[in-house]
Amino acid sequence: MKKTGLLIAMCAILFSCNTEVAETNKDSILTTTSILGDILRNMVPEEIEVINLMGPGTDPHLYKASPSDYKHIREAGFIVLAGLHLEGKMAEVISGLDKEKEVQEFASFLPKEQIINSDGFADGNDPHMWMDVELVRYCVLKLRTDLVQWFPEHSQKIDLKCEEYINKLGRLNREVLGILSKVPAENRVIITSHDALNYFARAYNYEVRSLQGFSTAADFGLKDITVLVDYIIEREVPAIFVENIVSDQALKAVQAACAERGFAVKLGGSLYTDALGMESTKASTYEGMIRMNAITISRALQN
Amino acid sequence: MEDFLDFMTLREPSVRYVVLSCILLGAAASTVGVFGFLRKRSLVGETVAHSMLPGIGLAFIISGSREPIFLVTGAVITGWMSMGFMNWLTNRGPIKIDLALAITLTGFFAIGIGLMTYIQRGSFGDHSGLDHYIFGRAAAMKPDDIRVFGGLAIFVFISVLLLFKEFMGICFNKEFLSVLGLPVRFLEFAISFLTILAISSGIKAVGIVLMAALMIIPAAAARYWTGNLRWLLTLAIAFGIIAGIGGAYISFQAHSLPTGPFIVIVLATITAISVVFAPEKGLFSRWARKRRMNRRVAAENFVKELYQILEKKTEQYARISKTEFLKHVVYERESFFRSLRWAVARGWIVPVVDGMKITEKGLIRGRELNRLHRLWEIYLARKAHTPLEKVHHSAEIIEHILTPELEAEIRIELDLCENFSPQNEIHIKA
Repeated sequence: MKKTGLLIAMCAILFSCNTEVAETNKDSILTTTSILGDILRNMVPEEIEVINLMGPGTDPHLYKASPSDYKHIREAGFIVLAGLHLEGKMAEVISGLDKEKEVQEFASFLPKEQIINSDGFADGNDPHMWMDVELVRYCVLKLRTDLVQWFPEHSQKIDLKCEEYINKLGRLNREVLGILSKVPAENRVIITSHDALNYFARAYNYEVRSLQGFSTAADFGLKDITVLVDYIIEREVPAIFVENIVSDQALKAVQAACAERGFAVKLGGSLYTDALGMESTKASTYEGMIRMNAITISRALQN
Repeated sequence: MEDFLDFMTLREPSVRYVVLSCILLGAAASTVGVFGFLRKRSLVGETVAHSMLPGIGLAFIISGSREPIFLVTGAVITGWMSMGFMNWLTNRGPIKIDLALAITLTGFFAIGIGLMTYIQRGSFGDHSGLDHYIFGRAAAMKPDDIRVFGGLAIFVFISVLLLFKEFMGICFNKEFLSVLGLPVRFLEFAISFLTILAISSGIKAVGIVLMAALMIIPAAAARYWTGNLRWLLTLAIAFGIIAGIGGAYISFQAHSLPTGPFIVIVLATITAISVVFAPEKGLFSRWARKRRMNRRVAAENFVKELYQILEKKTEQYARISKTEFLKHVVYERESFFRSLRWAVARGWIVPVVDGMKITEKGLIRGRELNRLHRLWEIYLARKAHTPLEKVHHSAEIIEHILTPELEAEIRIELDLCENFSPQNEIHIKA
């Protein structure tokens, strides 16, 4: 008799976990990176809440989802992912969760020939497409249709805000082009800790080199450092750049090695690549981040 | 080849930074590790290293800065806390050291990972590089690191040189030290202090995991080669240095070969070689020793049996035919020839047509083995009150390993005079 009671109690505990039916949130969009969060906030009116899982300064390659993230994901009705495998496992979890959710990948609008292929990524596609403002503008244009369908009652406001944002991005692109064209052609090489700038380089006609390859999760060895040092000295690269999501330790080691071989290379400042800067900085929005990157690069490479 | 020269001459500054840092850190960490190993506390280093993660996270949250000075201070504080916690657990209650280590390691590390996850979600600003404290970036060494590790190595070596005898006492006989009036608690504190100092200086550059490996593995591998503490220290330091250089060299061969993991792989290889090939304790030498022993026992049994056959005969000739020998003793064909061969190799028997001949040397050894066998049987029956049916089996084994000194002792125990012999003498007829 006692045992039956215990069994019933255990079953009750077991099933109580599942009885809680997730309430989907009607007026909010869930997204992953801080950059996407900012872009979406610029596309929808204030009535629609945008939740981004990763805080500013957080590296999406190394991000570990916490239980509260999964709570957010369960409750979300509308989800926008960066796509091109940036989210890795999390994207699988989300797409496997529930067929009733509306899920859209931001980068999925891009035509195939616009996506940069490189061997270092899962399925060979470089996910860092937001470094090219033109591509973001294109995707915003396309995503607008989905948003209008998701939130029909806000359709007019969404149209209006997107229109405004698309114009803003167009102006931003021209401004960035202007800033970056001041750098003389022979100095146009950007050296960073990991390969986040391929789209940027293609759009603004720069060359990129990195220490770590494509993902910050991969590790580099002694050879990678010595080869990079050789390259910097040979090309007489005036500055190398730290990224906001990666420690500057490795690049400082590169700098020290260059200095000892008689070539003074500057640390050109911090570039924002996979996450926005902190609230108080000028790089706390997508526009700000792109503008700050352009200014940092242009200043460091001009002399 | 050019690559090798490039590496060995340390022409590249980056190579120089990494190699020198790894040598200094490897030497210091393995020195400290030896004492942990001898105190059977190898995993303390591992536990303390992992317990430093919450300190790093908390220091970052409180100070809001990534300056190593804050983070390492935090690391040292939780490192000490973990050590205190471990001792508290083992001193009170029924928990043994291994369990205490496991609880402390997982508990502190889990808190650390929790804090790291909290940091990546919150608005704590620029937290990049905190994760390097776990896995490290051994390829990216700077001149500063060489200075830090140099200072560490000098401090560790001087402490060990000054307190060598005391540390040895702590490892092997604490009670003796306290009887001598030496400050045992202070010395234990000194070893703990050196451990935490080494780990906390290392984790910024190489990470928690590599640091733990550098402390544990060299001492364990060195133990296979020697039982002398001085040699143990020397070898452990040498292994630490070899691993540092080897890891750096492998990582210099191609792209994307991270230095830290290869240091551990070199260490693991050294250990594997030690386990297999070390003299005495190595698998290979143990196997060879066992094989030698088996052969000797087989040859001795052979000559002993031959002696017993001769003993029973009235007409004793050195030569005996194979058929006659096999009438008295049961042998499989294979093992008969094997045992014969080994007895021949020892000069106890000479093979002749259709049989064999026992030599003078063989007679002496056979007589000795028989005597020892019977002495042991008498001893067991009289002194250990072993049932008679059981004494033979034990004597079969012990006859091969009794030394003349032991034989003398047994004779005294049994009150036997020196000339007593429990067997018939054999007089070989020509």
